[in-house]
Amino acid sequence: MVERRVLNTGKTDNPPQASDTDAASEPLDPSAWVDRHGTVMYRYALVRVNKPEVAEELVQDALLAAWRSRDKFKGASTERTWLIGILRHKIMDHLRSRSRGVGEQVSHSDWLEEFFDEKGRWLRMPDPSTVQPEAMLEKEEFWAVFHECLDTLVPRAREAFARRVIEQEETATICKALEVTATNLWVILFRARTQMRRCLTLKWFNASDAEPTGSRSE
Amino acid sequence: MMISCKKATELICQSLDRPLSFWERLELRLHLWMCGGCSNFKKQSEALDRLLHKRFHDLTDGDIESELEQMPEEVCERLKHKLREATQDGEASS
Repeated sequence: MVERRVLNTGKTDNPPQASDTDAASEPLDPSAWVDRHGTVMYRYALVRVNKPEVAEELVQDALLAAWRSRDKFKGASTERTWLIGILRHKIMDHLRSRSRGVGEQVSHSDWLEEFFDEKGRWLRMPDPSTVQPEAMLEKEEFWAVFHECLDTLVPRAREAFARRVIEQEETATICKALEVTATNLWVILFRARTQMRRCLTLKWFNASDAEPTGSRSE
Repeated sequence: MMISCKKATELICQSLDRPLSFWERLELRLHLWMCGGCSNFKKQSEALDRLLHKRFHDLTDGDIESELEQMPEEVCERLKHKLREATQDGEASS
């Protein structure tokens, strides 16, 4: 961070006050933000980018940006919602700059052989007794397992999955951001969802219906 | 003509991202009526989508820190340090 500028913008001596008087109850101290929201922001960023050092940098950038525009925070949303909103923009900028030209081929069928026989029948039937999403999500180690599974996705699938499933972005928006056609996006998401379902199942239950029968293609 | 499980799962996933056509819906419904495996796949996929989104939505306004693994202590310290550094004399910059 080379942001050590000492400027005179007219508000020299006193730190600027938040707009309302009752805002005094919310001390505007970025270190306090780290204590109050740091973990949530860091975990959130880690879901979207799988490198801890990148997540840290994004959280830092977001907090600095928040600090610079702190007088825009009017308390219309909670402090955390506001901070996460800024973080989300930072993440999007980061991914945009990075995802360009990631021209990985989308193959439609080969990976499906892990799940289906040549006639398109399940090799192992999904069984309701082994995959119960509600139960999965209530387990304490949810976040750790979820991260492990996200890491098994190739970068573009991870990005598509996070945008579509977690952020519920429109598919058109995602197509544009990832520079893929709608048909390709459906294939990417189909594969990502199937892989995530299998991984989560394996990690939690060692369930046989989710066991991979072939090696994962990266 | 029945569609395969492979085709059915594809339609199930796509139905989460786009509206299926009339014929696709019909084919899928017919298949699901006959196939318990794909019916389970459908339930699980829909539940997973819904619940994962909810989990993340809760991050922003819920009080769920207790569930989260704290960020590493050194990350916390570095963040605070950098922020202090940047905000101390950057007070007047905007």
